[in-house]
Amino acid sequence: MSKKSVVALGLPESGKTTFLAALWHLITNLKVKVRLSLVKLAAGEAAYLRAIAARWAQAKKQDRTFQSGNKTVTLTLKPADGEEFDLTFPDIAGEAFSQMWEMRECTPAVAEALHATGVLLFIHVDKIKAPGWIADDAALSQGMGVAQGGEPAPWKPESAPTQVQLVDILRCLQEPPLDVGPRKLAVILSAWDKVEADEVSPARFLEMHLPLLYQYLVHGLGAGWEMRIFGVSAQGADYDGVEGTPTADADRMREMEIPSQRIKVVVGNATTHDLTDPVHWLLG
Amino acid sequence: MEVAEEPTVQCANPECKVAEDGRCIEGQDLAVCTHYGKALVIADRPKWTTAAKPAPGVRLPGAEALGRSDAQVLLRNQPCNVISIVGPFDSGKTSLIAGAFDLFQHGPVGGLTFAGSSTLHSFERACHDTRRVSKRKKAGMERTQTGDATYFHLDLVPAGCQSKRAALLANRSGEDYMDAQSNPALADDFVELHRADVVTVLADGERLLDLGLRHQVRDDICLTLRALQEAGATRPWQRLAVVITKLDAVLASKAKSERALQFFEGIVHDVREQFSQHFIEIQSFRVAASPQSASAARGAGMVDLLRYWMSDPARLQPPSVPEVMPTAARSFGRLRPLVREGHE
Repeated sequence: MSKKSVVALGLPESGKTTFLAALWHLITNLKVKVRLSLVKLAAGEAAYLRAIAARWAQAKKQDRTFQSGNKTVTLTLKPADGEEFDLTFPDIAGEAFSQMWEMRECTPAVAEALHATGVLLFIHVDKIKAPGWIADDAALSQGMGVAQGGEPAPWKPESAPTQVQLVDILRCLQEPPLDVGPRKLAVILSAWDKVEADEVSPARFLEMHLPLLYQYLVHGLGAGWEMRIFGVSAQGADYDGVEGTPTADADRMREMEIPSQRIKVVVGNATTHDLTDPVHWLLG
Repeated sequence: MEVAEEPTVQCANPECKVAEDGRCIEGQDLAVCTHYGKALVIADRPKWTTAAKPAPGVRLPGAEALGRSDAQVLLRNQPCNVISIVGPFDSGKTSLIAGAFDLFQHGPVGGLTFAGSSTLHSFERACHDTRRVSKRKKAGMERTQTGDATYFHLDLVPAGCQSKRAALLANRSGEDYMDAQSNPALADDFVELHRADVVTVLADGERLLDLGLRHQVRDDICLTLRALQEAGATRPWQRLAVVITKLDAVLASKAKSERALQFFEGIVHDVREQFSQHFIEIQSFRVAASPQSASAARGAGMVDLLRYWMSDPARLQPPSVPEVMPTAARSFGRLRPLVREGHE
């Protein structure tokens, strides 16, 4: 049986664990037609998968304190018209990727995981840190008579815009010691339900809200790289906080008879419930 | 005679200088300070155990501005335009570099698309004081350190083209360039100038508003260019950009702006007159890379400057050789080909 691997990459709270929880629910509940089916229930880090999937089914946010250390999940999957294979999917905390930008280093385990040729790049559409300029604020506040500024803050790498940090991490994947040649990159715009009303395609959303990253994806990736942009709503709506009271959105999700139908995956103009679609494309 | 021994002033806190200045470092009354009067405690440094040692991390490529050797590696590996930016202290060199990068945060600029950078930490640090996150009241810019020039790197793709062309923006402290006026030999070490495709000299718009200082601005530009030319640091295939910076300050001062802009045009005229034969092209630009008032838009004039910086390098164009038709010795050889309907 062949072994394949993908790596989920993204800054903290970008939706990596929620994606994995929803994926496990989807392929174990068999209520929705999927491209990749689970061959056997035994899986690496099965207890972890059950725990995060249980929270997902209850429409509760993932508890970040629960995710101590990185978990490498192994799933045995099979496409409809192909042979079964073991898929390793490391669930690495976003802080590890922040560290790549800020400290210019990563742990050997993260470096090992980043040698996968299939990359899922997670971006939470509601947590994009956009650059803002004093000059623009001054022009706005001048007419309104609003005072601006405060105690000057020194530069820290973490204050950089999201798009700058992600461009740099992608550059690191194309240079030693992480370079493994051309890869497939699936950009996952998570929490897509929050911007669905804007009625723009995932690619257009990326171009509008992360223009530097979009330019880099189109013109900066090395020869042979392939890229596809997905809008993914793995939850369907906002879930209850770790210790919060039930919300109307989460109640709406809990009321759905088939939890897998909370999931939405948008590519171009097409929408499905199949969360295995990005993984299937990466491995194709 | 017996001399009474003075009591030794002491404190258990090693940071406290009470013996020298008589003041408690914690600001307490000496009578109530719990450390005062006690002997200095020297604790042994805890032994470093193997278990406490952090696991070695995997080093990733840096993101700081490039030194000379890294810039040379980049020059060897891909098509590249080198842009040197020459100007005195606080004339806006770093603002230009940061402003050029920040333009791409909104999308492609003037037919150029961002395709990467290996110096993102330095770009972000340079941009920081112009950003909201710095919490400054007015946009500022960090001072360029003295020493060898450093290079900011941008990969750009021109419209209609698939291949990248790098821009290496050389940043050197203003003092170094000004010192070359009195000692042109210093320019031998300005390697960024020898390879520059575009030499960019800055005229500080704020100083052009001042009747006394504006003459100094003209002298600085003309004397620096002359020093660089006498030292052989410039090349005849180079382009020259003469740039008035801080356009927002110039436009904000309504009474003086027209005169300042006219004076700048006078500087450009002088530069053309004195240095036209030393550069393949000379152009002037008016920019507000990081304005401090609403009188000019952020990045005003930068698009044209960026396009000029990324023009096809003249150094790659072979010198034109006049066509010489050899005169044949025989009459048959002197027959000219007939051109008919586009076919010879």
